[in-house]
Amino acid sequence: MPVSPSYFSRLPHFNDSFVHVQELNRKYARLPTLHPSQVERVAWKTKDQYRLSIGEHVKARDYAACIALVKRLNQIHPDLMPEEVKAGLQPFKRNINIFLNRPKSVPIDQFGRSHGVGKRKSSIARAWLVEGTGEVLINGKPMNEAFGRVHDRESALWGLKSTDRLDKYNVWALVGGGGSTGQAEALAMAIAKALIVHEPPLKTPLRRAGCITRDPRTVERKKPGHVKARKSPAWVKR
Amino acid sequence: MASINCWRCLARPSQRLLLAPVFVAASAPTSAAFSTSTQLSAKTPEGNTRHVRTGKRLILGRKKRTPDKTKPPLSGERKAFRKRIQLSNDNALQVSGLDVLSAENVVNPDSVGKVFGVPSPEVIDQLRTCEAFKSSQNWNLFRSPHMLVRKETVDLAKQMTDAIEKKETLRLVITGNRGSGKSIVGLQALTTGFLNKWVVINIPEGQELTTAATEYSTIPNSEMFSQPVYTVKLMQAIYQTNQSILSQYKVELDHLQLPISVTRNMTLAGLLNATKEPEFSWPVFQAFWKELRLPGRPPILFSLDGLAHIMRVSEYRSPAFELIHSHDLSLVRMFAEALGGKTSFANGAVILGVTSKGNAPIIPSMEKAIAQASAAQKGEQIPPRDPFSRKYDERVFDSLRGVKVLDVQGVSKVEARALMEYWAASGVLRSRVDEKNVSEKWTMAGNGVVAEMERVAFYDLRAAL
Amino acid sequence: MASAVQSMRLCLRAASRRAAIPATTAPRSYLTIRAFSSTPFHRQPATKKDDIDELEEDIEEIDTSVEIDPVQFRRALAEQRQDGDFERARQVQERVVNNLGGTFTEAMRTPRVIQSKLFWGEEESDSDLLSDELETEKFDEDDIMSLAHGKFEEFREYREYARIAAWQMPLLSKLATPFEPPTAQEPLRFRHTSYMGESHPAEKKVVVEFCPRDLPLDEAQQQKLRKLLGPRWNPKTDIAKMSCEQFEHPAQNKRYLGDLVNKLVAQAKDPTDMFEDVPLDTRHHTFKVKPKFPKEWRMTEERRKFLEDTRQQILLLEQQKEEEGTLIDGVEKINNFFNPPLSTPSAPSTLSTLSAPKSREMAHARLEQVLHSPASQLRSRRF
Repeated sequence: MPVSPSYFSRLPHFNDSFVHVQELNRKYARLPTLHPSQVERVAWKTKDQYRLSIGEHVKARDYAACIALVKRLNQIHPDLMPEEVKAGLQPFKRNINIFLNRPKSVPIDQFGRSHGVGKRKSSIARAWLVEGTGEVLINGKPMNEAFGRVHDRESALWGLKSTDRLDKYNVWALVGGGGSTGQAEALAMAIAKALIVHEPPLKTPLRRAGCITRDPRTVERKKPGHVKARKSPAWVKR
Repeated sequence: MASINCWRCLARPSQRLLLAPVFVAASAPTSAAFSTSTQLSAKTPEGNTRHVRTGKRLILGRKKRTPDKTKPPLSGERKAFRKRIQLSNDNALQVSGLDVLSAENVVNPDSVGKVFGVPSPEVIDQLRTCEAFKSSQNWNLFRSPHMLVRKETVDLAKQMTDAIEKKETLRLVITGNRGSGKSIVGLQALTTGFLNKWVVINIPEGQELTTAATEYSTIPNSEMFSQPVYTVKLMQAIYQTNQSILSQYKVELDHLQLPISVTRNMTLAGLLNATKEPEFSWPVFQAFWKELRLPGRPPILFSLDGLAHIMRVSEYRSPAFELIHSHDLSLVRMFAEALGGKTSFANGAVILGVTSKGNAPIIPSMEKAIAQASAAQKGEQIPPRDPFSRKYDERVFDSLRGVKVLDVQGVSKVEARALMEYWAASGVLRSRVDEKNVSEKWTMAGNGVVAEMERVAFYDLRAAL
Repeated sequence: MASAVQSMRLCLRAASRRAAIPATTAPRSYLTIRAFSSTPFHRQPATKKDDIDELEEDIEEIDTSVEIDPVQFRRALAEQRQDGDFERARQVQERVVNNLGGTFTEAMRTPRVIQSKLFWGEEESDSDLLSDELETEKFDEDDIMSLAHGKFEEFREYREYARIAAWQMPLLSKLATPFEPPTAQEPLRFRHTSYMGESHPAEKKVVVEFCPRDLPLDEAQQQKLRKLLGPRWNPKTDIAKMSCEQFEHPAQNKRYLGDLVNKLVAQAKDPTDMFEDVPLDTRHHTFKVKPKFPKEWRMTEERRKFLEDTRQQILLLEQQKEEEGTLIDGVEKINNFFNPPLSTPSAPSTLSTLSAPKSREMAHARLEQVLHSPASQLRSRRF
């Protein structure tokens, strides 16, 4: 004898949960609720995640209806939230609430240095920023030896230049991988991140200057049957 | 039967009639110019209708090449154009309010970080004659030549004057990174020499002596080789630049072995100018060199740019078709011995070797010798030679034994500011010279490397133009 | 045997099997028909007779040619029955007939195909993979499928390992011995290679590592040992590393290495030639120089004070220059040159002599001019 009558349906788990959520909604409809803007954010499972977790092919429409009820239940005032409801919502929550994630703050170390990492194309740059007079050492070399092009030098220090901090900090950086353009722009990102540690309010201007966002463009992979990423071999008769 | 319409013509016959009213048949019988009746009456032979079309025609393969009527440049003209030194530019703004360099303010520490004019016109002429200006230096951007006096300049000038006051010999090598202003410091040293009325001998390019670009000949009873044409040139340059000093001194020794007759009442300038024959040049120059080192003569400043080139095996070949070491060339050996301290100078002398980073060969022994000398100067531990390296040349170590080293690095921010203010006042740099700007350029230029600063400062200008 | 044949003949005649052997029924399957043959199937031509046909003909012959009197035949049979010989022959005949039935059924069956002799089995070396499908027993619907058996086997395996993990693994801790760092008497560190019971050509290799400082040598002897070791010595870590795989067994290689180290130590102790004139060779090793963060950049109280002072100075200088009017602007210089201020016509630009009010005045004039005449801008740009 099956425990649940849903046993004979196509989606036993989902049907059980759905019915349970409906019952809970009916039962606790009178409990005071919070405004949706005041509710603590919860990472709900998406349709696909839910399907994967219970192993049933739930229809999108049914899941949408169910999750709407779940969200309504979640609005119940946290002080009055019954245990039953908490347990009932559990299958719809993700294991990790991403909204509780906080970026790890990297402190300024004992020598007054802040550290930042930046990437671009296949280059990786690490930069240490310390208050100083505007000296720059990249891989132990001065700027003119590290970057031959003036444009690269400018783009490497763009974060400092755009915020007028070029003569306020010394930069000591390690860069590797990729070419000179990639290294310079990776360095710009690293320096900007290290600068934010010193001066958090500069984050917005630096973002506007385009130093914080990682440029995701990289070389497209080569495909089999192609000469390069997109290029096909020339057509030959026979 | 061929059609009347040209079969090549794609225009419809009706249109063609409209389009081509003009045709003058060459075969039409000549008649009076004013009469058209014969022409009109004459029928064009059938099948031979000419297609006349208006508009542009595409002509292929009939491009006429007009021969270049300008004369090709004479031999040496291109090189002269390449090497020409332009010391003034009328388009640049005049910068007034700047001092002129003098023997006093070169050694004055207060003049560090200021721009000075080169005392004109005689010193400029002297510097030009001894080829101290180089075409790679942007003298042509400014109204008149000016120089930034930096810490190294004052330091060097001080060392030079001190040594000469004490009648000692200062043997010094100027090193530094690429574009850091080594040649300009050398030029400032030469200027100091001219201002102090020393006898200045300058070899502007060590490369010219060793790349087999000038003639050479064996010296009898010696394993050395002389470079007669270059020696004549050098003697003339010394004569022209130092005439006023050298004409005060008379020949004191008997030079019986010389191919020209030299009398006691001849001045040193006269001795230099006595011959322009390449065959006699080396013995005469040797005699002059001997005379110059006698007690009671003026102090000497002997300088050479491009030191690395004279520290290697030259491209000349001996009669046995073996490559000649540069130190077997007589003129180079003279400099090498002076720099290595083998030659004694009674009246005080400055021997200056300027290294160059552009188009310079890598000489491991020279690099090691300079590193050792600079460590010894700082009192640090002397870096040992690599015991298993076969690239070392003992003669190079001999020629650089006990030299002092002047390391020229980037300029300080104060100096950078003075330089940029001068550029802005000349109208070359179009921006406000304030601390922010100066600091930016100084950083971008790898902590104030002068040539890089110039590149960075004019980068915006070049990008805009 | 002649009698046996004879009796068989008789027997066949008596049974009159003629009707029982239908010659014209379905083709016999021992003549295998190739499924993919393009040539049509032919029966063997009548002229060619095989044994059976011959036999049949013989029987026919007997049947037709000789008329046998039934009384005579019965008597003959009775005679024969009395004979022991006949009895024996009969037994043989029965046996033969029985066997013949076997041969016939064998012949009626589809011929057995040996998979390994076929094309598909040609390259297969593993005989387990060649399954003769005809041999497989019929599934009698009384067992689970082989896949399910495999699944069961899998679970059994899991459970076996789980039992081992639960019952036998904890017993291993009894065998554990605490780690003891090697003593000063054990300066050599040997490395053997094991492939867990498999034989491998690299198994015999033995590597020894040691530091010259750990050996019982004085300073000069250590240095000599380093020189003797040559490129086997790493100057960065001061560790020598040697390997041997020239003998068949690891033990032999280890013995060799041990002897070699002993020999080296003996040579290093030999005072006749200490190689003092030979410099230590480090050409085999490239020393990497790691860039280090400059110590003078580190933020200390003095450094902070110095930075604040310099910044203060710079600010003061800037302010002073601004007030004096000696702050130079390149664009301003050029504009001044082309549009000289009215008050001071053709005033040359100077670095240090301009005073503040004048420059401000000039700035106004310039501004006005720029505003009123666009040509001036053009001219300045052309410059």
